[in-house]
Amino acid sequence: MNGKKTKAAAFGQKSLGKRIWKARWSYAALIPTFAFLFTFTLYPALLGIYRSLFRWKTNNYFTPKFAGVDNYVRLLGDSDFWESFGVLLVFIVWGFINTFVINFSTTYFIFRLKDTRAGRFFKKAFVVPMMIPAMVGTMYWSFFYKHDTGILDAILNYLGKEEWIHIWLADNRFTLPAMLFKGFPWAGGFAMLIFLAGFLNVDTALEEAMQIDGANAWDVFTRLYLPLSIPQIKLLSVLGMIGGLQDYTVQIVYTQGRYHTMVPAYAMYQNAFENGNYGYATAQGTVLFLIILIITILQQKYIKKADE
Amino acid sequence: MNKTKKLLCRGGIIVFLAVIVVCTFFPYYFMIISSFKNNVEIAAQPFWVTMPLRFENYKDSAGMILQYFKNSLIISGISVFLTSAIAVSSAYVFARTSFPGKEFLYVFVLMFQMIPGVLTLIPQYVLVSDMKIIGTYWAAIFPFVTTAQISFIVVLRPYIESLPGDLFEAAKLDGAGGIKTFLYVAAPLIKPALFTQVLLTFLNSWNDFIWPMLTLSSNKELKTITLGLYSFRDVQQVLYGPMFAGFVLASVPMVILFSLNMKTFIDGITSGAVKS
Repeated sequence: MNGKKTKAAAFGQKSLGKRIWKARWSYAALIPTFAFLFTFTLYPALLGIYRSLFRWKTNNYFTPKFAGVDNYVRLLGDSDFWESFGVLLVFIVWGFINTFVINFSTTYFIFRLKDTRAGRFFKKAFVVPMMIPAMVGTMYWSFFYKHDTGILDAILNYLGKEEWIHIWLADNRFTLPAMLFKGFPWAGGFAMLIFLAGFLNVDTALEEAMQIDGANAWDVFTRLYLPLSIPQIKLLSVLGMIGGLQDYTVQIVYTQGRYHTMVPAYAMYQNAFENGNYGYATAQGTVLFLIILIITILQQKYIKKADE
Repeated sequence: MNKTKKLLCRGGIIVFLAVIVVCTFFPYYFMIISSFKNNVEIAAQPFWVTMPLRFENYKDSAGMILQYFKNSLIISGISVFLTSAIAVSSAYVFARTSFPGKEFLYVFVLMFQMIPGVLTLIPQYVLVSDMKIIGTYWAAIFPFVTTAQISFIVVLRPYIESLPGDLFEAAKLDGAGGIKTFLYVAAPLIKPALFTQVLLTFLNSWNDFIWPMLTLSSNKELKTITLGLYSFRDVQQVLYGPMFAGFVLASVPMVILFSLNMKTFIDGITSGAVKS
């Protein structure tokens, strides 16, 4: 060991302990980050998984009783929970169509207007939706669908189509589609800025070269700008999935999960904070976590493959 | 493509986009004109302006809105400040210094992105109750800062790393210590990216609904603007005029904040301030 130390010293390499001490301010700067992460993420995450193995409700809140995999067994038979995954899939797929088909093309149109007055106008106009608080939008659409006195029904009345009027947010057939339609025309905002940044990063020389080779506008879009937008698409799909899995504000505000609008995360929320069944809810949370983990790993593998 | 065809195409694009803009802005138009009406006028004449303009709707909702504003401002302000301070210090250290275990610790931080909110929601609530900060601003702030800092760090580190090393060498030669180097050399250069991250974090905090609802609802005084707008529908007989006035008032600060900073914000995004 002594030989090792002198050898290292001979090469000017300090010992590990000395290096750690020399970098003590670096570690110090990292303390807040790790303090928060350990306290508010790691500890709750582990606690959650641990508690999912207990029968833990409001009536025995301070004395949870170990129950092994009981919660998970019950979870397997919970058909409502699994149906909510189907609903979630619908929301996410629809969100992807909105972002990657509708918003992507609209943004491309704006991009093609380049730096003209029209282009600059549309760029500014389409950023506005991002600045409006999300709850304002949600409440507006709630009013839009309001029975009889809302905007949609006012339009239908005006067109003389009273028979088409339904209670949009309280109907097994129409509530889910109504929620999906919310946010029409789904253009602009944050996604637009991300796509625009991607388009602007493309070297115009490439486009010119393509046009010399006889490419038309469609070719330029599909064979130049579309492939080069893949990083932006990757970023927004990750954000979209995370957001879609974790946000159930619309359900809370419109339906409390009824009429086939329940999503898994909201089911967990309700089980904990409305039904007081904390153990079962944490089991749902753990299952959701595992599913997300698997999807993330698969996504990474698929992305790695696509890159090659 | 001949000139006429090109012109037609451009014209077509403009018309198409114009239609989409109208559809996008219709809700704002509707809310603004409705904010000056009473319930009868909203039902009778939904799509056009009615006279007189009932400014009292704004007076009626201003009081409540102001309270919600104060709370949102405090919570989001503190959240963003804490997040930025912590994230920037960590990002800088990861980018510009070397120490044993650096990459391991960085990957460790990244792994936390894998822990979704759904897993931690209930235990975080229990933790925050046990810490006795439920019903205070801190219950809304701490968990938010914990997750917001991660993407902040992940975006800022490569940005700081891409700054030319010579600047830092020059600063060292001039005798500047770590903190001085950071403040005078690095900070001005990362301003666009930093700014964008700050605005985005602020936006996320402002729009946060579920967690504030869980932790702040017990204390009526502490409702954020998002919670406050939601509670507009609790009243039995909703007065829609003041409600829409409230929506308009709630939108104004964000619109102003973003409009004033639009150029820097867009610069930040284009320069790669938002990456996966």
